[in-house]
Amino acid sequence: MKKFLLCVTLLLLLHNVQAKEQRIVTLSSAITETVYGLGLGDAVVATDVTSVSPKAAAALPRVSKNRALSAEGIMAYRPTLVLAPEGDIPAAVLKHLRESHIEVVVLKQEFSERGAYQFIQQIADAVGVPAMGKSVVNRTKVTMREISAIIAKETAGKKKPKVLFIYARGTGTMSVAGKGSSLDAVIEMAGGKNAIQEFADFKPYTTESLVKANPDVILLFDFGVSSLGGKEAILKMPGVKLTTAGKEKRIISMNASLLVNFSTRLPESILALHQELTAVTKNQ
Amino acid sequence: MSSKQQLIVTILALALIFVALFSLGQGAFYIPLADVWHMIMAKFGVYESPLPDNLAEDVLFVVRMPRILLGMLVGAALGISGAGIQGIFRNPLAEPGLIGISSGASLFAVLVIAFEAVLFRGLSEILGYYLLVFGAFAGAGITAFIVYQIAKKEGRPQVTTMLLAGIAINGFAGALTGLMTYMATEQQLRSITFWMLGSLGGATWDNVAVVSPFILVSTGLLVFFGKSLNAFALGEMQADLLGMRSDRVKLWVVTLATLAVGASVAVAGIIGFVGLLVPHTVRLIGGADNRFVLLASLIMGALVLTLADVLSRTLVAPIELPIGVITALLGTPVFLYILIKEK
Repeated sequence: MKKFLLCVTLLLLLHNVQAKEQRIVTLSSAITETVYGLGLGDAVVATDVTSVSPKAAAALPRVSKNRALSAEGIMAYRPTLVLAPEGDIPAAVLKHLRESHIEVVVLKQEFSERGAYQFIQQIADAVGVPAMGKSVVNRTKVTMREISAIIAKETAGKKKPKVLFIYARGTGTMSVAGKGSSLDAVIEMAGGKNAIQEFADFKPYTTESLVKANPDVILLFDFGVSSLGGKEAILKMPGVKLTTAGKEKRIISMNASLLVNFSTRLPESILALHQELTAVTKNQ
Repeated sequence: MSSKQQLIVTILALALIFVALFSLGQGAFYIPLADVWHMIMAKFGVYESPLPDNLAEDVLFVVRMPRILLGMLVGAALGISGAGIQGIFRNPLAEPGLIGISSGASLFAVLVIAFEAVLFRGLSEILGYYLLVFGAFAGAGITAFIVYQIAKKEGRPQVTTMLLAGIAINGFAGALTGLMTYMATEQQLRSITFWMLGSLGGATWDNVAVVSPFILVSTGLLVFFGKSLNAFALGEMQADLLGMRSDRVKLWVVTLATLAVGASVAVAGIIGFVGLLVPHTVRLIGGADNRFVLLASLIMGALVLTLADVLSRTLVAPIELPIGVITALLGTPVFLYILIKEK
């Protein structure tokens, strides 16, 4: 046993040595927070525009704006490893980086609890700390279990509030989250029920579909709320008054990257959404 | 060409060489010009020892060099096509973009992106990246053909009809592209933006190799249409009386311009204003002799785009500005200034 422990310690040390030589560029907030969560924050040299958590990451230089990436912009930071979410990195940029002998790991994310654990482990493997990955996954699992238990206890016997998520970038472009979307998963986990059961993924928002769905709560990202002109403006949108959410003024605004990252902060995000839901539906 | 025109062409060519070499050192990844020189010479075996910085070498040879070459090719294609089309229609407003070629090309590219998974899977497996290029080509060709056919009256294309048809096609293509944008996923949306605003960020040696034959052949041939276009300037009847088959010249110039513009849209998206402003500027500084206008537009187009690309890469580095935005911001004031001065 002693020998085993010694080996593990040595391995961990080795990994730490290796980690110090790494220069990592992370291209999504979920990846960034996971790398920080794995204790490799110091190796991150630049991130994308969405990475605002943790605070240390927010201070790093940005290689993208509105997700437009350039190969040179990334290479300027002399990375040894680039971690990118699937589909976000243009083929030419990928080709340029790989031809320049920079390792690029493209990560596919599944929006579920299990997907979050896989995601953490994948990143841990990519940055060379698989053992650390395992322990972070276990820690997250334990926290998640505790939070799920709390939520289950609090919502037992109660009617789950119907939550409609609206993704907004100004009044012109609004869509709602259907079944199987990332939002659908967090709403269910936080003890709510997605108001949309008819279709999958995101579909354009219409006043009639809003009235038909008649949600108890309307959920938006914080930038979505500001893009529509604040909570008061949302209450004045056509049809909102006709819904329970509108009558009771139940509008929740949450940080986008916290809510749908499905990584190390998943328990935190589920708890936060649950608390918001409980707060607005308290006097039901 | 007069000696003044020859001088202008020489100055433009020297400026192009200078800007192209200078821009090799510029970008988000800083490389001193001396190192650039060293690395290039080392490639040719002039210097024995390469510099120790491998990454800088990769940036230079993998990312930047194909990009600058692509910028020069696309700029040259847009510049000379604009000049050729304006010559044919004896109208300074007729630009490849205005008669619908660019929007047709980008519409087809967007269609390929939107329906790739559904309709083009088999083709996509065979052609890969080239599917988009061929899509854009087909779009350019089909729109040019339609506009040309609509504008034809007794065998001769009417300028006004051609412009109106172009505007209609632009509107239609714009609406369809808008519809695609509405239905597209986030991922597709990002590719569509590329086609609408233009970018040289996708430049690789592969696509330089794909488009250079099309652009080199079409622009190379266009240069020799100066004399015919000069005859056109007198009017088509007169041109015919001078023993020229004006219909055939028209068809050639439109075809070559479509080929050049289609190829450039296929790799760089829509880059506006170059085709319109460059020939004008050339004419204002050096006169309207088409032998001069075509050649000078070719070089100046390349120059303007190389310059615009350096700005797009450096102004907000490490992020890039869309090049179409730069050409419009840079070109319009210069153009207006020249217009006012020459009035």
